[in-house]
Amino acid sequence: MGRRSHGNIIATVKSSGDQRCGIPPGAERGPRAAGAAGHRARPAWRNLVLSLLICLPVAAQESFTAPPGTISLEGRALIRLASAGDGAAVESAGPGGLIARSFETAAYRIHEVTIDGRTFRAATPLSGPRSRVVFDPVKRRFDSLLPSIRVELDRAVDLEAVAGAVNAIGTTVFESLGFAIVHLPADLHPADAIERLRFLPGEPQAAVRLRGPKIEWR
Amino acid sequence: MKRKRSARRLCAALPCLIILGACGGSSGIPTPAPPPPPALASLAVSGDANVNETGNPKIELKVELNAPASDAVSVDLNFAGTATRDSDYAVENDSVMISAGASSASTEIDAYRDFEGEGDETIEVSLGTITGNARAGSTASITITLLDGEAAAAIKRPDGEDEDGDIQLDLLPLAYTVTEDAVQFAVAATLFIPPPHGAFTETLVAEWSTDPLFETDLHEIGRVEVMPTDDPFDLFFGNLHVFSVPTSDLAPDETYYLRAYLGPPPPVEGFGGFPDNVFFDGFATDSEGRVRVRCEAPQRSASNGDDPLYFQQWHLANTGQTAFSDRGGTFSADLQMNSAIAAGRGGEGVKIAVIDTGLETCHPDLAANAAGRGSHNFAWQRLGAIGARADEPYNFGVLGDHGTSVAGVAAAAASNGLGGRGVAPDATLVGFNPMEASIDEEDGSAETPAGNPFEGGPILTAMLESLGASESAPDSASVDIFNMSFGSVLPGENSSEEFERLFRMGTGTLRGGLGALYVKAAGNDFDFCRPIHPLNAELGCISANSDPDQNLPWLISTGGFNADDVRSSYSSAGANLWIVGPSGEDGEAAPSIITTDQAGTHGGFSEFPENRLNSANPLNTDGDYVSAFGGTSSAAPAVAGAIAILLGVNPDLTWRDIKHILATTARPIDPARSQVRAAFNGKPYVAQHAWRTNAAGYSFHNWYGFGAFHVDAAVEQALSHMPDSLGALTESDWMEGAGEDAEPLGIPDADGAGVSATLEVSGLPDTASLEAVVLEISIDHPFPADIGITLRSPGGMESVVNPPFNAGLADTPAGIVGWRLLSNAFYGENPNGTWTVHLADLAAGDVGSLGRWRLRFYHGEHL
Repeated sequence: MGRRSHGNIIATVKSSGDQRCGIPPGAERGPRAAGAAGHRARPAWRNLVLSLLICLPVAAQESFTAPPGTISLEGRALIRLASAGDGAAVESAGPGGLIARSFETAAYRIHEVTIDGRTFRAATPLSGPRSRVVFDPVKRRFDSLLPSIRVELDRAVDLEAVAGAVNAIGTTVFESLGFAIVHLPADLHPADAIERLRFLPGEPQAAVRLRGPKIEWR
Repeated sequence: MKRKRSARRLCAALPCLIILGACGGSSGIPTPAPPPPPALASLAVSGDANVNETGNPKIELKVELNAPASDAVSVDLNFAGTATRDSDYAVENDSVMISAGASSASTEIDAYRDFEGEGDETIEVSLGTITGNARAGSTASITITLLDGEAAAAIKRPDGEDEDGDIQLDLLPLAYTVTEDAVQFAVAATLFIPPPHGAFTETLVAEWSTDPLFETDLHEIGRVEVMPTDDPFDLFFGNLHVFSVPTSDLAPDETYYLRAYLGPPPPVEGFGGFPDNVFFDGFATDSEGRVRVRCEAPQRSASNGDDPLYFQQWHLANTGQTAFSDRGGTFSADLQMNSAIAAGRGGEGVKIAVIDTGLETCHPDLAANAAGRGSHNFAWQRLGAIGARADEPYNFGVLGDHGTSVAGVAAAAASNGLGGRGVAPDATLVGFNPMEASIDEEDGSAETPAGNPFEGGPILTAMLESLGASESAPDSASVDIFNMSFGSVLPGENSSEEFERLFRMGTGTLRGGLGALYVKAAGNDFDFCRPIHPLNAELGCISANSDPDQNLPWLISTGGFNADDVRSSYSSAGANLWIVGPSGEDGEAAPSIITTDQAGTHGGFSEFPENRLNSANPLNTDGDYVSAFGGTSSAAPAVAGAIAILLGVNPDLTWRDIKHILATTARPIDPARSQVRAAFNGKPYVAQHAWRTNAAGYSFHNWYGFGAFHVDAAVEQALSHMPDSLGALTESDWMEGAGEDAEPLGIPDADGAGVSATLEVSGLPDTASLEAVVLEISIDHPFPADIGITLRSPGGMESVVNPPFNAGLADTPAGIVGWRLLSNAFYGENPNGTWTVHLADLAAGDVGSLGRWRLRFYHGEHL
């Protein structure tokens, strides 16, 4: 349990964690670590600014065409949205008449998802792990993918083969939890990593991971 | 009537002569007594006839006779006036019956609190038909005045929307770190200004000083002009600035302070002040001028004497001491652990892990329990080159280390002549700092663009490693109790699959299968939001059930109480609470928690202006302690320490045994707390129950769970607790109240009557005793914060699992899908029978419907 390997370690982060697009943690609030340590509250829109996904319902804009894609996660069908390498402007159709568009500006990739007449928008960096987002058509929300996948250990899975197939930069095995976290290189989309595993003997079961909410000390 | 019949019977039984002589004739037979004159009936109310509706007053309306009734008297009552019956008030009975011999009877008028601006209203009550030997007296009518309460409507402004469009400055501290060459910090400076933009700009200034007030020795690190924008993307990405202080020229044994601000220099608020829009932190150097990144034990003269701050630690023994605040609290409003302290029960042999910002393992009052005991520093690989150690989760910042203070609450050493003491002063402490984990571009990282030097690490992975899923580096698998004084708020969301598996594993297999204890701070969100409705002041801003992990049944969600034995003003409420521990208030107006602080006077919470126990105080000249540590962050380690005492007493207790003992022995504090009820559209709605006892005899309140930890009572029960007395824990399948394809059930808008749906549960053992119930629910509504959700058990217990006006739901326009809400209020009840889920939409303007819902039961078989 708990074996891990590290990649290039550069720095630590004191204020870390994420919040999911469109779910601000509350108005005029912030961490209250302790009486003496209580930080100032900040307007919630500033918390939105903290998010790497910035979401706004907007009017639909110009569209393009590209193949759709879905990612299955714990019973949810998530719409894979475009990221680096998918083209400067793409459009895909999803279930229920969903239309997903994506286009690049000078600094960002803009994602627009239209469903049932409403359009949701998010912006991500042009490349890198934080460019990888999905849209949950049921919850109508964007989620950011972590640059890692969870591989189930309930079969005779060959983790070395898994790591090799995805050029993993590290693996953390949690035998007691029945899975391993395989850390991916920056240029590999987690959904593509899972796709690669389909060609391995025994077809290891794996899932993408969503960024969790921002953690606060109480 | 009865008397006449008797007379006739008497006559019939006697001979005729006797009848003639004694009974017959008009003059010889006694005349029945004339009926008494009719009594006079009057109306009266108990108490004042002018009542404020805000208190949901129950008015006793009395019909009084001026003499005892000769026979039963029935009095009808008429109700009129400007108040509308069954909208502004309800009447128990329309008539009263006065028994023979009695002289009064009463009925009750239930006046509703509402938030309508109706002005004062009247209820005019008059006597109606009177049957029996009575008639209306002089007070045949009475007027009751309902004094209008607060008028209000829900404020449905999206959570993230500011009220005005003025220029707003904001400085977001994003990261603070040290490398081999520099101390660096990152801030995002933003100016929000709606178009059209003027020529307005603002200057971002970064400085360092050895003077914490920045009045002397001032050095500029950098200065940039920040442009205004209304572009949310630019607000995030466009204004990130990284400032560095080279470490090559640092003086030895010095403390450096860093700050960044927008515009003019901020006012001096003293050390640790947090004025708006200022980044402020610091670091210290060692004797060789290197940034101090490891623990260096300070020289202190420990002894075997009493702990000099113990007499002020109200949470251990509340004598009404002030704890350095303006006033004292209530005698005995504490952990009720005098016997445990006297008996020397200190949690020996029990390991508590503090998952936090760090842990100063060499602190004079922590070292005995923490030094060399197995802590892990997730920053070690990054900072090892500059002296950090793998087994010291040392926090190099100087503005207080949250984890060090948390640790002291749980297990600071006792009777060493230093400071105060922890709840379990003999327990072993280990600290893990998962937020310091770091490899390139991983999960949970800071919100900074790719490629900058502050990319975060695999924090979620490090969390798993810290919470029991790792046997080495760190060894968390050997931990008995995990203290989690942290959390997140993501209403409408559930815990991740990984964390569900973690807590299942931890409670199922750790401690040799007895199960580890996970103690989690419930949150500080009761009074910490922009309220949607005035009821937020009574229900709280954001429910404790809004933390995705806190709707899991394996945790002990812990709220806080203060030195007055009521909920700490900030402590989040929710049906998922299990217990409350001491956490206090702010330490100035009222007592807070006294605990360990970063050692030394160069930094720490102790030097903050709001902390009365600073180094000027003769009891804290070394600056090792703080008197203003609060939040449910302090309640959780108090509970963790108290559980350590129980495990020290009886190491064979399972995690469920512990929870059971807590539920059984907790003190139901604040017993007179009223329910929160108000009428919407004239229909009364209970948004929060008073203390309520379920069918199994357990009392529960959303503010307190089962109550305040009573250590001595729990110890007594721990000593006598029978092994296996709870049976095996069974997790039921999901039981569908309404499936995915069910017709949505419309929820009436702005109506307290709401809508209900039921689920018939059968087939679970008749001997099953509930330990937790989870409701999964989907609601299609553009503003789900309108909605309160209540669950009712077959035993008649009701639990508000999501209070109305939960501010956390203010920005979920897509509604709620599959949200899981935990209730502990049904503990011990049998699950078989009819369960009812009730939803009420209490604010006008948006309509919605209940979709799929289902229940899952966690039950044992309690002896």
